[in-house]
Amino acid sequence: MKGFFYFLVLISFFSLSSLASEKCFESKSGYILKQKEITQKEYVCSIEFQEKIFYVSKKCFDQKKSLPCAHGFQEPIKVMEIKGLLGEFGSPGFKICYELKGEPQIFTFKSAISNEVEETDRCLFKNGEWLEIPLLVERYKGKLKNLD
Amino acid sequence: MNLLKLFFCYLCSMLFVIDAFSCSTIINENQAINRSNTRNQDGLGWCYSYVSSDLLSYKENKRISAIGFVKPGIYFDIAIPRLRSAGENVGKAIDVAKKRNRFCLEKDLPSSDYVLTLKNRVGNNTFLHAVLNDILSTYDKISDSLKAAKKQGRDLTCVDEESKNKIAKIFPSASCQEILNSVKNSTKGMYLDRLLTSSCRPVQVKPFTRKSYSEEGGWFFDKVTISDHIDKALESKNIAGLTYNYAPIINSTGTAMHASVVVGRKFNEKTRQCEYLVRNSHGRSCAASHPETRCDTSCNEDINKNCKRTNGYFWISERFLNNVGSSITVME
Repeated sequence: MKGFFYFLVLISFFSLSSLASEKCFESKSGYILKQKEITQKEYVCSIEFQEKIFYVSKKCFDQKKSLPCAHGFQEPIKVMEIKGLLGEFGSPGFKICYELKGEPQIFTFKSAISNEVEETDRCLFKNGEWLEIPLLVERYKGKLKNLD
Repeated sequence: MNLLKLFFCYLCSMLFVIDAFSCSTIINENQAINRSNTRNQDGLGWCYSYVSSDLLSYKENKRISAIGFVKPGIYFDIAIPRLRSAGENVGKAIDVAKKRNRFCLEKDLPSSDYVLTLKNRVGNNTFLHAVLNDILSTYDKISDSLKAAKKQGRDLTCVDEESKNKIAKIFPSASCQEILNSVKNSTKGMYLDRLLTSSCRPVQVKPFTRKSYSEEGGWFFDKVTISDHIDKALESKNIAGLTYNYAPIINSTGTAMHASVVVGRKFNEKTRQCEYLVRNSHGRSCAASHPETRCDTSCNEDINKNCKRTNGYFWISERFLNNVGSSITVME
């Protein structure tokens, strides 16, 4: 009985600690379009992967198993081969996003976790779903091949 | 036998102490260059220009735009692979910028996501090229109009609507006067650069020099490694531009030359090696996956505190750094 109690305490501790960094909040975000800053209010959700915090759209947070959001939550099935993935021009994250048929965008938002305005980049998919590009880069570690 | 073992233990611990001693923690940051403001090469930025502007930004403690650290006429041509300036490096990028001596602040001329925005997708480097060619074609048209107006003895106050619309796709804030001056005062080859730099108020920077180093000497005792050059820069409260093979960093094969900035070092108690802190220019992303690298997730205010957010920096062991590094550039 005592063992079961400890087990419950442990379970609740781990679920609470993971919940602490996984939440959705309304944030004022901004991005540049044709050199003009555009600001809007939107829901941003945080997730934890490989002991790091990343951000995704509310829709992707709710629909982790359906594509294109699943790119951020599931292990890639095959190696992604990208021509010019590495090297002097551009960044690998933007190229991964293009490969997933997304549109990369640099954006700022106020994080409810750090309580700071953060600048990052995201991969926008159709219907407004998005995944933070650093999450995609983390997901595709060891699954990338540079084609010259 | 036991005495011998004891002697070896003593020797090992002494070596460990010496290693740790020669690798005291140094993190060189200021308002312009720190872990909260990594640059982003986006879809087509050129790494050498970002590193060069980081070196100058650190020296000046002002965020200087990476645009302008390339040969005049080259920035926009990076969308055309055949015109890519192969073989360039950080040192050359700095020399070009020094000659030009015209710098813009990042806030006036953003170099992250400058032309590659949601609606400006470059894709296979075709769309941007087409837009830029469109703008370039306005040069002849405006030049002809200027000549015709001169013949008629009148002044041109603005350009035709079609040209203005084409230019506005990349330079929405360019005024009629700025466009006319850009045509009057530059060649066609310099037209885009002129439009670009006229969209900011140039900042003055203090005179600077640059020094580039690579591994020197071939023997154990007279060998000066890449990390030795970095140590010298870090200990002088400076940062160092590093040109290196990026492929092994992400555990890929082959060679893919890249440039980043080394801003600090720290002794890793677990691996008993000196590690160097590298500031990349891929935004917050960290693709480093080689076992001798690790992504930095430290908090802005405390390098030893874990904030669980990648910040675009990564740590690399001294051994691996010397293995992949090819040259160092320091700005003084």
